[in-house]
Amino acid sequence: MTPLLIRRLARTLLTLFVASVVVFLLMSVLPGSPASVILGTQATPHALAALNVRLGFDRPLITQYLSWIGGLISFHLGNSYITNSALAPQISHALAVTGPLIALSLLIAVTLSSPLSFYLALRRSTLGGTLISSLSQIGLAVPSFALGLLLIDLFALRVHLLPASGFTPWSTSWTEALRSLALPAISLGLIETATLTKYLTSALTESLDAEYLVYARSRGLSTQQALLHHGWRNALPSLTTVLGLEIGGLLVGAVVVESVFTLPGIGSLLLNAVQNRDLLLVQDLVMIAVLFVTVVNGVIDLTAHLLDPRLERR
Amino acid sequence: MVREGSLRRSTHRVVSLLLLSSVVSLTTLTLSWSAASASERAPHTQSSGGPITIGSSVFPVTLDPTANPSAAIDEVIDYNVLQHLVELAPNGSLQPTLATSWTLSKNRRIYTFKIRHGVHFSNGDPLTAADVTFSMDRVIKSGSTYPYAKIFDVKSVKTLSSDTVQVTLDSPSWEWLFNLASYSNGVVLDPRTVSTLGTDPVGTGPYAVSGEVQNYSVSLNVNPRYWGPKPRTSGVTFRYFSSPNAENAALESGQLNLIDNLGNPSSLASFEHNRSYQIISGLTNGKVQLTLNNSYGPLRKTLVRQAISYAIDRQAIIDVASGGRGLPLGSDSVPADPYYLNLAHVYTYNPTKAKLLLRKAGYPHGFALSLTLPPYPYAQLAAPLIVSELSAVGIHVSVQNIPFPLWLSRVFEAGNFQTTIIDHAEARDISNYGTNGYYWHYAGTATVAALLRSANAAPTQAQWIAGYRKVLRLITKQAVNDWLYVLPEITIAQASVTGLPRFGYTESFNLAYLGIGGSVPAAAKKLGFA
Repeated sequence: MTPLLIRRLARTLLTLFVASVVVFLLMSVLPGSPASVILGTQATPHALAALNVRLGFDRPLITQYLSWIGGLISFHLGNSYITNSALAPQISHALAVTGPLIALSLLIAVTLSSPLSFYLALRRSTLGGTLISSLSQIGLAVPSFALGLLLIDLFALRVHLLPASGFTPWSTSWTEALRSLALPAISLGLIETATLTKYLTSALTESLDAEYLVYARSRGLSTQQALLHHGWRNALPSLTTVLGLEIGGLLVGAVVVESVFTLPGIGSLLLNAVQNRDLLLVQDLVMIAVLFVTVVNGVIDLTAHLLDPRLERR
Repeated sequence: MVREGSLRRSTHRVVSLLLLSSVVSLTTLTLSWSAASASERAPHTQSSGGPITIGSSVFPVTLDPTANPSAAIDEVIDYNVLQHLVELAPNGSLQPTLATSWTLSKNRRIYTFKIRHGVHFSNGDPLTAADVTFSMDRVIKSGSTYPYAKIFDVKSVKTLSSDTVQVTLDSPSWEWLFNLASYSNGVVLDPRTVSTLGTDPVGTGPYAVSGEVQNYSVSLNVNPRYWGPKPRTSGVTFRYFSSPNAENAALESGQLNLIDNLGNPSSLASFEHNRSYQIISGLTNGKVQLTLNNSYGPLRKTLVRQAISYAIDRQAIIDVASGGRGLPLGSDSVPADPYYLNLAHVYTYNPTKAKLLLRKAGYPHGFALSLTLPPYPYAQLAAPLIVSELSAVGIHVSVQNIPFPLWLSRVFEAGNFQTTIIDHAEARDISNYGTNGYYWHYAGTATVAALLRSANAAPTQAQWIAGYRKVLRLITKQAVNDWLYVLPEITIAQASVTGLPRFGYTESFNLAYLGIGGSVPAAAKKLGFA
């Protein structure tokens, strides 16, 4: 286990380094500088030059990169070029929206897809099975934002059940905060349910034909008992792998859904930062996203090893 | 067979139970949510004095109007939080604010302001003449970050007594007092709080900033120390939407009381003829124009530029791009300007004449032209019509869409474009035509600069106006650009909202008389509050 941990850690660090260079270079070739965005139509060549010096863009690229990375390593996310305010609180406020949003949609997806895939694995050819599997096909095809618009129309405009958009901070009222995340989480979660159901069903169906299941049944267990005790555990590694991949996808999905529901999360922070050429904020956000995805995948990898000791021997 | 059947039944039971439990848990959650919501909803029943939520489109990247020209900052902060010595009422008239009166010296270079007594900043600091001097000095000091420094031609500022401030101008100007009122350069600051202007600007206005959520909202509280009439709400929150659909849905579901400036007029239809809402469309200082690069090939010829002006039907563009609201333009001036001239008739839509002029200019078969577009609805909606109208007279236009930061660096700063559609939002910006090297590369800048200078030196306002009109006629005759229409500010509000500004002549969305229900004083109505 230990060499595996070290290997994973080295890989994570390398990934982070490469990502930091790529995002920094990308931002530096992006047309339109922070100074020209700040000055807008009031820009004069003189004012532009002065502002560029004040923001530090007159320094060589490598110096700019090193001062950014140096800050990140010592946990200083820096100050915004545009507002000069500290970035760390902005990012943590946005995380307090996007984090729970992703967690809630995962919760919905796992809670719904587990029973659905059991049902499908056992009763695919019945009317209910056909219905569920066609619904999950539709779920795979529909983008989450389209579902979001539909949900807004149904539950916010026709029936005033939930807010159409926006977010009440957790500190103001946590029930209101949950209410504002409900529709976005449902739109992300339902689409995710479709994906998870598909993977989980095929993993479970596969284990139905496995020898250990035939053996378990010959010992007198019913199919459903055998599936619950043995099939489930054997399907778990493939479920966790899919979850790892899907969490990255959920982050992207959250960006889109946040814009439909105008949530002040990571997605809107990133979009606005790119539009305003708040380069440092963009760089920090991308690094956080990369860190998140690599760490999640690392954890998933390790969990897979714990769940399936056979992987250790490979 | 029997075994198989019984197996199926029991599996069915387990699965149904699982399904049922998740459905039940979701339903309970939703029910508890809906119960919690009932008390907080129903803004329709709010009485006068409650909070108001306004939908808007661009989040102010900073709250410091002295460091950034973004109109989104002025919309919230200007007049409402930070005040000027003089301000513009919604109808465009000058109003004494932190100055109670002023005099102008005979040579028209020295303004002497009397500062209002008994005014306090929202943090309790009293307003002094020294604060006013500090604020104006801060504009002209070296290292100043004020965005409109070039229109603030002040030589020196002096505190004469505890309530008198004297301002000496570089040269006489008929525009300076207006600029002081209109542009955020005129804000009066508390010297002890300038370091936190970006997040917590402290001013003397009816409201004070109480909080902001990045890219989401800015909240204002009533300033308890405000010297003027007590605001009619308990607080105002601006909420920002990148998607017009989400913004409209928020208004329809009652989360918003009003949308202060509808981004896309095509969504007007769902609110028109609906008695729950009122629509106010007032003109702004925004001049939507087809900017022509006067230094590019065929566009160097006046005849070609005139042909383009004849080839475009302005009213049709207003119908398509602005929901039929807006006023056709013919020059760089709007009705709020004292020197306004309606020159829309000079180039009445006439494709035949356009073709004739092109032939005369040596382009009987037309030519190819590129149109660089920023991502704004007015530009995006007008472009297809302009492309087809120009193609009808032989000018073949290819469209290029670019993001706004790129527009700024490529078109505005580098002048690397042939034509573009843009809203020149600043008030009385005719001096751009006298600025050498301005992005449309007009050949006559020296002439215009001289005309503007001599007009400002004129001893009477009538002569000044006559001088500016001369410039308007000149740039229209030379068809420097094709001015299309005055951009309207379209406000949609719940029918119960009162005290809305009826015009968009100020960058500030003036909240002084905003409320729900009740009535607006007659004096305020006269100034342009609905």
